[in-house]
Amino acid sequence: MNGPGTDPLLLRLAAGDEGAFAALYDRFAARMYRAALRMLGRREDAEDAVQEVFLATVRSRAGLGALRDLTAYLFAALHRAAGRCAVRRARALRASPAAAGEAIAPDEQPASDDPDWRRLQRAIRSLPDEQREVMTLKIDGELTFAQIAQVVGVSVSTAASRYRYALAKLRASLAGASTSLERRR
Amino acid sequence: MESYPLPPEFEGLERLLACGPRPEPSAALRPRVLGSVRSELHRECGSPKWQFAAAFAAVVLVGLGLSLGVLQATSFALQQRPSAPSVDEVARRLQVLSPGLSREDSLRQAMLRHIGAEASGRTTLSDLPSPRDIL
Repeated sequence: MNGPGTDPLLLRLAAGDEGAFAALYDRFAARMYRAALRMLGRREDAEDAVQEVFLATVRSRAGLGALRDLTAYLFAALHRAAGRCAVRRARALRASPAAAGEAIAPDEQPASDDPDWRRLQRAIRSLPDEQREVMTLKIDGELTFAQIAQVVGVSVSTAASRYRYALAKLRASLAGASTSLERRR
Repeated sequence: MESYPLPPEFEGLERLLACGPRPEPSAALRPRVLGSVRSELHRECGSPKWQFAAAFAAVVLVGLGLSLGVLQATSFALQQRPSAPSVDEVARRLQVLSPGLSREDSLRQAMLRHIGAEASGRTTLSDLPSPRDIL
């Protein structure tokens, strides 16, 4: 975690430097996209959420110079954007049952021929929301527990506990497959 | 450095999760996002200028409207009230008021008053009291 204004990128962002936003994209977009895809299940929604975060960052750039943790800031914005996207999707589902086929997330995680991997993905989807959220931010977003705590709004120890519970459930779900998964390490 | 170390039995699973297939955003996302960022930056930069121009135009239009209104309400035609007394009548009244005034002087004064009344667009001749009123 950096002190406020120590990252030169933050100062350039605060000044509205277009190149700084390109650098920000190159540094964070892939991680943000993976986390958004895990949260929302659809590529289009994930890309919309990433774009929304960048626009929000442009609009609130005046305060970026005093930011302590850019990663936590961006993922918190992504967390909110994903929440809004989920609400929009739920409204669309209520308004038009015909669109239900599209609105229910088909989960566009990368396909794999490996049955154990598919089983692992299914197990992740079956986790309770708060545990899957922490797991997503940790694995896909590559955030620390301190950053996850800021994003989700819980204590650091709660974030770590949720992650451990999630891993324990995944391990239990994969009890049969774990040997083959472990073997491939 | 994380201060919450994982039990060793979870470390393998965590590595597996981190090493799986990693989806990447489409190639179109970068230009799309940076394009929207550029538009937003330019929109914000341009807005104060446009706001100033719009405010200035509004002030000019209001000023123009007021000026036209005043112009239409003002008559610049030189008018004389139809009931205004003639120069001779005024000269006669002046002579009655000031018996020492010669005929020529009273006519000159009456003409000056008449000219002054026309030039200013208002008539003061009728304000002159009739000798009968005074006497």
